[in-house]
Amino acid sequence: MIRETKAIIERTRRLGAGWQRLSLAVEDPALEHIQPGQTLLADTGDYLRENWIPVGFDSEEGVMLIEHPLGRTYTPGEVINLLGPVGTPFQLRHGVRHLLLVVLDYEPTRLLFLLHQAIKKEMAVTLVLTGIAREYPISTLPPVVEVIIGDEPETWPNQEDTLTWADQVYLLTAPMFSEERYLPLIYTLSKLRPALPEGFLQGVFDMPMPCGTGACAACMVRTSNGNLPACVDGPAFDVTQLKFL
Amino acid sequence: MIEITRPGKYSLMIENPVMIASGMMGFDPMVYRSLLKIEKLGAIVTSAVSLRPRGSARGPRLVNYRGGFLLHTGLPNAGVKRVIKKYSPIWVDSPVPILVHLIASDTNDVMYSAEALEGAAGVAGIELGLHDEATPAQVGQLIEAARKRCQLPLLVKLPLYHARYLAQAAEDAGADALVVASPPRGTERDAQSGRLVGGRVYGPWLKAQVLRAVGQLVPHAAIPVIACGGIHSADDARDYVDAGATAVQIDTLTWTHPSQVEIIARNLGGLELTRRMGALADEWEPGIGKTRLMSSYPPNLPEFPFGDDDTSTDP
Ligand code: FES
Repeated sequence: MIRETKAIIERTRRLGAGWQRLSLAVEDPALEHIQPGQTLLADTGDYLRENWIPVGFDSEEGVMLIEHPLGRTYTPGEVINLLGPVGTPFQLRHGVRHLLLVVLDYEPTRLLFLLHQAIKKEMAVTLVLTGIAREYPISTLPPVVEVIIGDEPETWPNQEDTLTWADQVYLLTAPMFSEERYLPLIYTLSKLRPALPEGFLQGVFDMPMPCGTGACAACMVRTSNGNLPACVDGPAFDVTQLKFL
Repeated sequence: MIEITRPGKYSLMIENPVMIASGMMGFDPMVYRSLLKIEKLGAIVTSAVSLRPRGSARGPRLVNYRGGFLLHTGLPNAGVKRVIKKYSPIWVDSPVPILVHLIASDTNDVMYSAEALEGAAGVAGIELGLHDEATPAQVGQLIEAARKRCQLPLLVKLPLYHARYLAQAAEDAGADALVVASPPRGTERDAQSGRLVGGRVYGPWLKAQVLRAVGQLVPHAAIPVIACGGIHSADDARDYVDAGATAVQIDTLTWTHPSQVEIIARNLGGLELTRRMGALADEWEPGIGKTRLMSSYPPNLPEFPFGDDDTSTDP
C-alpha cells in the first residue's frame, strides 16, 4: 500500500567518481519492509518526483540505503518527502541458485538490492555490466559477485555460458531500447533452452513515474496481458510476455 | 450540497466543491485511500474511456521540464464495456460520486459508450472530453449523441484555447455543466531519446491561463462552470471560486502531493459551509485568501482581471 511519508538524510557518501550513497532514516516503519524491485518517489524540488531506488538496509544503524549517480548534492539533516513503496517486489523463481543480472548500457541501481539479497541467501550471482553500466564502482560490491564487463552495449563475453548457467535472469536497460536489446536475447536463449520456464527471463523497466499508482499511464508496458503499469505490476515483466510489436 | 449541473432531471449534487480531474486517480480511485481521505472530496472523474480498447502511446511519453511536464499516453483503456465490468463494483462502493470521462471521438462511439455508462452501477455522471479541434457544430452533434440514450448528468470539458468559442454550443446542445479546461498541447524534446514529443502540458503555470478563461466564461454561461487546471494550493482553488466557478478539479497535484489535495478539499469545504450559513469566511488555514498587501490596496483602482481591455502587446 503506497503512503506519503518523510525521511531524514543521515549520511551521504561518495562512491567512486560518479555515484553517491544516501543513508535515510525513514519515518514510516512499513518502509523497512520494502523489497528489491520496489522504489520510492522522492520530492527533490523538481515538479515531478524522482525515483529513489533502495539498494539495501544498514540494520546496525537502522537506515535505508539509496544510490544515485552524482548530480544533485544532499546534506545530512535534509528532510525528504517520499511516496512509496512503489511497484511489485522481484519474484525469484523457486529453487534459484544461480542468478544472472544483466545491465545493458544503463545505471545498474535497480538490480543492486536484489544482488545483495541474493548474496545473503547464498546464491551465486553474476553481474554483467556493459556501456555506461561499466562506470559503476564495482569495488563497492561484495567480492563473491562475479562481474563481467562487456565492451559492446548489447552483448558480453561468454554470453551463452552465462545464460546456460543461470536459473533466472534479470535484464535491465533503458526502456526505449528494451525491444532491440531483449529480443536478440530471447532468440539466443531459445537456441540454448528449447522451453523457457515461466519467469526465467525478467525484463526490468526503469521509467519516470509521475504518480506511482497506475493512474497516469506514463509507465505502461505492453504485454500479452494488456497494457500494465510498471509502477504497479512491474518493474519486472516476463520478457516472453512482452509485446514489442 | 453544491449543485454542479444545471437544475433539472440530470442534476448532480456534491458535498464538497473539490473534485479530482480526469485521469488523476485512474479508474480505481480507492488506490488513493492510503494517501488521502477520499470521502473529503466532492467527486472523482475517472481516466478516459472510449468505445473500443486503446493501447498506450509508443515511444517517449513523458518530458520533464522546469515548472511542469508534458505527457502523452494515448489514453489507454480496455474499452467502455470492459472498464465498466472491472471497475463498476469499485465505483458502487465509492464514498463520493464517480464521473466517467468519455473521449468524444465520433458521434456513434459517444452514443454507444454513453448508453453503456447509463446502465452501469456506480456511475454518477459523464464528463465528455472534447478534442482540441472540435467545431461548435461537432460539439452539438456529440452532445446530442451522448444524450440520445443516456440520462446521466453530462459535463463537457472544453479545450483551454477554444473554451470560449465552444462553450455556447455545448450549453445550447444540452450540456449540464462546463469544465474549463483540458490542458493545452505542447511539444518538448525528450533528453533521453533526443526526440521531440507532443502531448498535454501540465504545471502550476496553467492556473493563470485557466483562471482567465473561467473569468471570461462565467458571466456568459447559464450553466455551472467547473474550473480545472494548475491548482496547487487552497488559494488557487479559492481564486477560481472567486471568479465564479461552482466547483474545481485538481489535476497533477494529486500525483505530486496527494495529502495537499485533502487539505484543499477541507479548506474549500469550510468555505462553502460558512458561505451558506452567511457566516464569516472560514479560515481553516491561517492567512488563507489574504495577502500582506491586501489591506493597504487602494479600494478604488479599476480591475480588469479577465477582460480584453488591455490591448497592448507588451507583457
Ligand atoms: S507512474 Fe503513473 S501509471 Fe505508473
